[in-house]
Amino acid sequence: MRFVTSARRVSALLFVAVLSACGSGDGSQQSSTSISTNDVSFSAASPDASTPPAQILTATIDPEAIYVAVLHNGAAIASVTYSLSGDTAQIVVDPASPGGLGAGVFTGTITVVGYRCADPACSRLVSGNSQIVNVVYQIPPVVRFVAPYVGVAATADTAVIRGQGFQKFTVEGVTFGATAATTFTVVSDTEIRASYPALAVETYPVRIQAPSSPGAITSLANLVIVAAPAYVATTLVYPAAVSPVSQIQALRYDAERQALLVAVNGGQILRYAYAGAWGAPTTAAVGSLSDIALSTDGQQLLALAQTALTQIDPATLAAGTVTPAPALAADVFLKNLAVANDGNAVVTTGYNGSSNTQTYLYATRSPAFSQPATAPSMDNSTPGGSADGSSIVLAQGSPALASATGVYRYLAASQTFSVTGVSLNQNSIAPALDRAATRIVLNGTNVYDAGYNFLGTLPSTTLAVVVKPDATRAYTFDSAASQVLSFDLTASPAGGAFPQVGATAPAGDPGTGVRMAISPDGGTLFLAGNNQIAVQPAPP
Amino acid sequence: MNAKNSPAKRFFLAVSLLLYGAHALADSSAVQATNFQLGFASGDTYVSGSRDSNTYGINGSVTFPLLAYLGGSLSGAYAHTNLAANFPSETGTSTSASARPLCSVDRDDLAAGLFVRDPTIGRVGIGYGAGRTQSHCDATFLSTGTDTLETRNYAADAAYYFSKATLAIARTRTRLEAGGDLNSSTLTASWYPTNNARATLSAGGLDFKNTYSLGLDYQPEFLDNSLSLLFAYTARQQAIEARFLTIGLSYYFDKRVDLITRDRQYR
Repeated sequence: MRFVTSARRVSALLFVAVLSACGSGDGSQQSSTSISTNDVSFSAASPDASTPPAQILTATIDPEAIYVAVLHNGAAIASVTYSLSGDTAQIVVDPASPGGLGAGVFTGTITVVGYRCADPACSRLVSGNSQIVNVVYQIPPVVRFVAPYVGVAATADTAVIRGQGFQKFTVEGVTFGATAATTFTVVSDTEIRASYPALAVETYPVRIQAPSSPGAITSLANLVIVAAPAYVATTLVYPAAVSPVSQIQALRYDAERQALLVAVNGGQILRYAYAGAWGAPTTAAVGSLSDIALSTDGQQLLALAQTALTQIDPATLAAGTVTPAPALAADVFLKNLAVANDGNAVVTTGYNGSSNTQTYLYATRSPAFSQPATAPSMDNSTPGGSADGSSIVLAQGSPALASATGVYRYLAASQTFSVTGVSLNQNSIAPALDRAATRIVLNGTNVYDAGYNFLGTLPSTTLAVVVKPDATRAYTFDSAASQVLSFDLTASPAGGAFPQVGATAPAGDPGTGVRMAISPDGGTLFLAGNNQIAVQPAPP
Repeated sequence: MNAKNSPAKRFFLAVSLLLYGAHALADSSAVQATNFQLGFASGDTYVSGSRDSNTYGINGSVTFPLLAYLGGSLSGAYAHTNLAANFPSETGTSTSASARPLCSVDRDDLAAGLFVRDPTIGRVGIGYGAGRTQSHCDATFLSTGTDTLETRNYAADAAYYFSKATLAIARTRTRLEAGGDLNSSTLTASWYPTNNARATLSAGGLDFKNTYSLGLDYQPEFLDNSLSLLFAYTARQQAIEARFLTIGLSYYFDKRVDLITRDRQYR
């Protein structure tokens, strides 16, 4: 028995020895994963540019690896895909959209790792060397708009410059053509407020200087300096084709082209151009026309119909892009619009009766309607905007309502709507503002400051009102006087009313349903009624 | 590939029925009695000084007698592993630590073994196992071109029992799905300072020079020999240097024997 046991022990030891003598193929060969490049860069001309094409890398995977992972992070990279052929991986790197990123320098990292078996059963994996690909994506800022885009010759003034990336790279200068801004303030990443000196009549590209920008800064903004018009008092008659005029939807003055644009009878746009004298109007028909406005850069005339918005060439009145209205409830229609300096138009909707309906934004350069989260539902709202496009006031309701309704505003800087502290029911007079929204006239009578603090009143007999761009005067067309009256908004109201400081009779009676407009220099008033159009130098 | 329908699954089912049915007739000294154990294990893997991955999982096995000196075992395991990708230190503004991508894999293993054992001398055995790894990230197994890899492994082992020590050798061949084979050998020396404690040193890989491991197993008597604790440290010295730290807990059903007895007569 002892012999048997000993034999077993010898056999067991021999078996151990035999097994240990067997070679194994675990392998400790020096090998690793390699990649064609460890640095990838993308660039786009601006946040508005199209997405750069994908880039392709080639990785050779550790031949002992059984498993390869291609992982990525960082804002610069939208996606990474790869395909394997043997131990070679072709890696496709798609950059993120410039519009989604905005301006700046963005980074990302791609890691390519081959994993080997970590134990004999390959139940665990252990990473081999990692190949790191650093991705850098550079997007310079962009200047999109300047507002107001029209200035007056020989007059120093201020302008709001809108774009993106103003705080991503230090802005060291702002120029209008070759002329440097006298002062400028970077208000936010999307806004600069700049002052320019007196300039001659010319078109001035607006540029910012940011030496740390990774590329040339695109500017789409031009400041157009025009001479202050010296129009004599006169009247402009409506053509027979649109007579009689029953309703004036809108009256706009195109200072760049010295033209008056009038929307009448819910279907016709009339354009009166001035070339030493006012010429006969050209016309364009737009069905169910409800309002018109020039785009922020003056390149398009936005013609709002009840069911669509059409971009029209402001010089030729040739129709361009037509954007249908968003899905509207029954009996709801597009009502009015006002243009902000962010390139959006605030578009209100109406209803035949009293009902709250949606408010929209319309992007002029990429024509489309949108509905921001803060966009309010309002009762037949009417907007009025400042010439610099910074603020749009929206009044709503009607005098027939028993209780007052809130007045809203759209701030272009933040692209948000908010309710103001003012409540009233609108009448037929649209909100009027000065160039920088420091004075706001609601219902033609109530004057507020930028904080919507009540300042004083204008006569209750006001039929139409405009505020001088510098906010020193309010000009009204008064039903009792049948004149244009001038009120000093810098004076303290007496008994709550701003003092009248001037008056003038228009060259001809504009008729009823009067709309008013004012030239950028504040020197000329335009009144359009159902009878005719009056061009009138502003009273003192 | 779906493991539920795989040939390996069917094979294990057949082998299990065969082996487990046979053990009822056995009066074996290879395995004193059928015994079960269930365990939990967790571990970290470190590569180049930084944590590379962490794993946790459960495992279970049954060992049973078949014939005189012949025993069998069946085992299964599941593990989940988070594989980091060795991203560089992220100090840039656009890359935060929270954005560091992880890759995770799940691993299922089944194994069956047959062995001849004399508790006074040692044992020799053979085994067959199948495993399936599935990844949950943007990663691919090179041999399959998919996110799943199946493996088959064949093992042979032998152990010689000294009074308070064991010397063992094992050789494993792992066949990767649609890929090549991995071969390894492991030499293990174990010492029992007490009947319920075991210290293990092992060397594995090519010429036993690639992987070194230290393991400590302790089965507290005050828990009625129902549990054992495992701590293991493994250093892999190859082109890719890695260290593995594992802790585990095993629970033994019914058979409350000391550790050295369990190792030599029950599992």
